[in-house]
Amino acid sequence: MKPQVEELCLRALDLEPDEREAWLATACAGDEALRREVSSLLAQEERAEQLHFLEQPASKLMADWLRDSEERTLAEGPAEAASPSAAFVPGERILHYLILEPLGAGGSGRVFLARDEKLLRPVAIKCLTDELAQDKQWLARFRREARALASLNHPSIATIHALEQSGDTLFLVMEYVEGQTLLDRFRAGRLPVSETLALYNRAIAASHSEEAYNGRGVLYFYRHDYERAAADFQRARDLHPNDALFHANLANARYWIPALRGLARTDYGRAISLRREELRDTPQEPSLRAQLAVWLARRGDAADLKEARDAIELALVQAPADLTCLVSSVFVWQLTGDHERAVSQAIEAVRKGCNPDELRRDPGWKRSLLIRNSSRPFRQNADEVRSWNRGRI
Amino acid sequence: MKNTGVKDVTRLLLAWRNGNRAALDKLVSLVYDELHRLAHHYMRRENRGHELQTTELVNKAWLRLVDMKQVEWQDRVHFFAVSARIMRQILVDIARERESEKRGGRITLVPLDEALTVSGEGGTDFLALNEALERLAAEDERKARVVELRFIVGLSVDETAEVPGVGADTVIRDWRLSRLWLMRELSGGGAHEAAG
Repeated sequence: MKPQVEELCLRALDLEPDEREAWLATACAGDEALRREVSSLLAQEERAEQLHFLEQPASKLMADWLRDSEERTLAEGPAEAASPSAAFVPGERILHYLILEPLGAGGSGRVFLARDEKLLRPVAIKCLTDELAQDKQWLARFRREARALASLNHPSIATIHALEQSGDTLFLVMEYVEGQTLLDRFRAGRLPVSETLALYNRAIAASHSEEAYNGRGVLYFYRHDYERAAADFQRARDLHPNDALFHANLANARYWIPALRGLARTDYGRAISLRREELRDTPQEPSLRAQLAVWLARRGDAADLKEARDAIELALVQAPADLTCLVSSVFVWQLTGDHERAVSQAIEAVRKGCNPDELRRDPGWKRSLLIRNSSRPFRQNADEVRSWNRGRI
Repeated sequence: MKNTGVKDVTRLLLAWRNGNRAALDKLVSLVYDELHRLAHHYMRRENRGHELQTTELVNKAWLRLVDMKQVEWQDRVHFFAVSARIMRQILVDIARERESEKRGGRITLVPLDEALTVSGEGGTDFLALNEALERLAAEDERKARVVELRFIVGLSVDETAEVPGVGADTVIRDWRLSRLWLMRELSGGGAHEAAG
């Protein structure tokens, strides 16, 4: 656009539309090409106004499109979600699966041991909780995550055999991994320190590995055999560090959870914001809250520590028995020897939130460890843990 | 398993800046995935009375993908200019995908019930607009940039005026003129059309 054209055009635009042509003819002083050029631009104004041309940002367009696409995805779910609970009863058959026993339940789903009567093998069947099974968005998410999980092939991830639907009930058929979960193992009695440290040490080795990343938003697993889990930590090198930590933290999980996507190990800010969002999605998940607390504490700002304390206390109110995640995170942390102040703050918060007498009565090794830790200076404790490590592993 | 993840965004941005065209494609696909994820998240929140704030959505996707500290942005607008390129590419991809799906016809910028049409298909054709924008850039790069920031990213006049050497008055002028110029291109009355 020539400067002269621009100037005339802008000045003409400030005039009333019916005055423009006459003014322009005078202003162009016989330069017909100039007049035509300016006039052809001015002529667009009315159309542009009528069409609201470029008035809405394109990002709106993009978001509308995403919304459409999201709605289509959601619409793929079953038209109505019925009550799946009635069917998942030991002894009942759903399609060709004979339900044998409940394996566990988490915030979003329940898992049953079943027998595939066609292939004659045990399988784990996961369905959403009754409440979530009514929720189309959860169903859509369930489908999506099942597909994502099915696309993965990793020894630490349970294989997906099928996503099935019986009537209105949607369920996932997964590899059944026989054995004890870590939590079962913990509950059965105090785990020897050497064993525990070996386990965590492997988790840390995996999580510190530079290659420990696969960036695909890996979904994690369910009923894990204790021995196998330990071995898995070593194999987890192509997993994201956070997956590895989930692995450690949620070794009791018989349900899978979406892991954080592609986070740098030290990128706590982003991790925290994702974690907050996940919490909004699944507020009933205290382990997320606990992990959030740990990350906040690890960042160590005063405001973060306050939020960390609040988060821990909330997690404790929600699920006092589910301290595993929090404590194991603190434990991992201790091994790395970082952020002592944050650790002691976290521990202090836990102490504040728990009834000390109740904690002392609890047979779980984690809590006793916690009490022990909280009563001595951090550095000394970390050194001790390290020396255990060196001696035992 | 190939490592193309969010972690790579920063590296890809640098590669792209150094002239690697393939890096842009990868960036686009990453941002696109993130947008989908966020859109899903927002859809869930929306049911609890929240609005899908679109500019926020797009910018948020971006902010979450880029390690701001590691990329040397000349200024805030530089960051948005890069965003604009990527968003524009995503829109082009979406438009092409839609076209090939023949689901909703070509992607348009105005509602279908709009009485007046430009392309004859119910609204402004995004692919055609994109091409017109490229022609504008060839003629006047600053104007095309203002359009990108205002239209593609959705920045306000004042925000756009953070471009060094471009004051708010210039932004307003550029915007008014570019809008008419692009409209003329799309109506088939542009100099380019006449010549071609």
